[in-house]
Amino acid sequence: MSGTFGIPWSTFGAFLVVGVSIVVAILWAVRGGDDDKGAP
Amino acid sequence: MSGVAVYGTVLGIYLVALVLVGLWMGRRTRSAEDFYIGGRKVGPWVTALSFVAAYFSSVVIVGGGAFGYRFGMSTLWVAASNVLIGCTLVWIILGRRLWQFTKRLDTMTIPGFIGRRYGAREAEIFTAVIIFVFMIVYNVSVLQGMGRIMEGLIGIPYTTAVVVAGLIILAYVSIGGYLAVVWTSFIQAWIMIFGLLLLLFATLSKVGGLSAGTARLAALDAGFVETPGVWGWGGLISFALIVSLGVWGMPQLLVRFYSIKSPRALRLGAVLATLGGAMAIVPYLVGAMSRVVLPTLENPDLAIPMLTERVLPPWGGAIFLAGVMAAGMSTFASVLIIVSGAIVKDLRGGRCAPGERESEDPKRTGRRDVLLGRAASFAAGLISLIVAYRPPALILVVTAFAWAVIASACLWPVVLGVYWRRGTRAGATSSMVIGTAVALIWMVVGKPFGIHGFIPGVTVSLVVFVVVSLLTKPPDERLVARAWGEAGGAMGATGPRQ
Repeated sequence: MSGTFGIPWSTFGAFLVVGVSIVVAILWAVRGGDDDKGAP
Repeated sequence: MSGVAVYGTVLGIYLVALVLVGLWMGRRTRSAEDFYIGGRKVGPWVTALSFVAAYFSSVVIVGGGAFGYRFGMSTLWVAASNVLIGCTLVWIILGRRLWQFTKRLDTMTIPGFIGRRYGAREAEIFTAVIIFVFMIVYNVSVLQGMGRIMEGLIGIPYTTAVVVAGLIILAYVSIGGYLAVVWTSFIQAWIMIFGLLLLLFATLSKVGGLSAGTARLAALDAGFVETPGVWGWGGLISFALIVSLGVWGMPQLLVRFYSIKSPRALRLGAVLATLGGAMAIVPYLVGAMSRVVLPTLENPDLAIPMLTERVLPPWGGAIFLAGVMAAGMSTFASVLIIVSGAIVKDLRGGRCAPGERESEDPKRTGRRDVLLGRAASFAAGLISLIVAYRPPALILVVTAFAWAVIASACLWPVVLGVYWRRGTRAGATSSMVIGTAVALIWMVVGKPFGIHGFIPGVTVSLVVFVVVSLLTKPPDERLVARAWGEAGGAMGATGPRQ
């Protein structure tokens, strides 16, 4: 069964994982928090 | 201007620029900390993009393209795991903790971290030896990747390409140390990204766009566009894990986390590394699409070089070639500095000459350490060069072999070292020795059940680490307290200053 750009969903999922990774990294970066905790 | 002249001019400018960066950074390198970790003052952009450049060598570009050609678009999942596990999660889960722990333990190498975290000098030496041997194997495969693509694209004999590129890297790493490595890698990452995007757009244009290219690929065999398709789940998952989870135990990548200037910079670095890492999609996608353009290629390793020749104009091919060179050179350089650290700081023990006390003259000690670091990185590079001159056959297999052994040795002692207080000296040491042995034996006996040695290596390493730690006396509380930044922390068994 074809998904976006004619690529089957089973394969197109790889693009989605890359997109999710970028969103996760941005959310972690903007969350801020205990950055200096534990610094000597 | 002929194609070869264009290639030669672009490459010549590029190589001279790298040496100049090395010379410039050499002036800023005055101590061992400068030479090995840039004085812990490197910014997020340089750190993140140099991480990407070191991660994705020319082996990934040439070999990834070959995998794409052989197995089709299911290989995009390898790239996806590279991005999620090998970039985003490792920065988030391991990055900040490793920064904090190495600073508290006052160490600048991964063997040093393991030695101090567990109070185990023997584990430090073992890691350093594994790094020395298998990083050189890995570097040989990196040089091979560069040599092959230069031979394929512009007809420079393999041996000439390897010797020229290798000697230039030796020059700038020996002179400029870690700062030269990260700054040249930063430049190289941009060239690599630009080159990959150029090849991506040219290839998609040639096949009529992503949809049309996918349809044409499916017409050859539906298995080339489906997952797992012609590859099968076993091969796909084990390969994806090797090249993604392996990052968590690779010293030349982990060093980025504790050379960055602050945890705040690390957060921005995580985003930039993820964005840069997304480029990993390109070699696999382009490799898969190359089957539409070159349906009868006998050697998949030639997919990328021949596709480049077919779809890019000479100037575009020159930029792409510079990108591939950049990928290989940055990885090679990153590995050299790690091997040098393993020799000078860990195997030698970072100790002063007989009769000399480090505190007496820090400037003199710093100069001597930098000199030793330069000599060690030059020697390690020279060994790689000599071995690469008569290389073993399969690029990617050799790389994966080295990765498997290094990751089996380092992964759990590093990851659990910053998360599990109960991990003991005996647990860490036995896990490293047995994990390495299992990975090696598994590969030597011909990969039983078709499973790569990485999988049994890291699995056994984890089990041994946990079981032996629980069966042995809990670690010295002062040692753990120091690593976790609590009151009452003590120095590890490896001494006060590494």
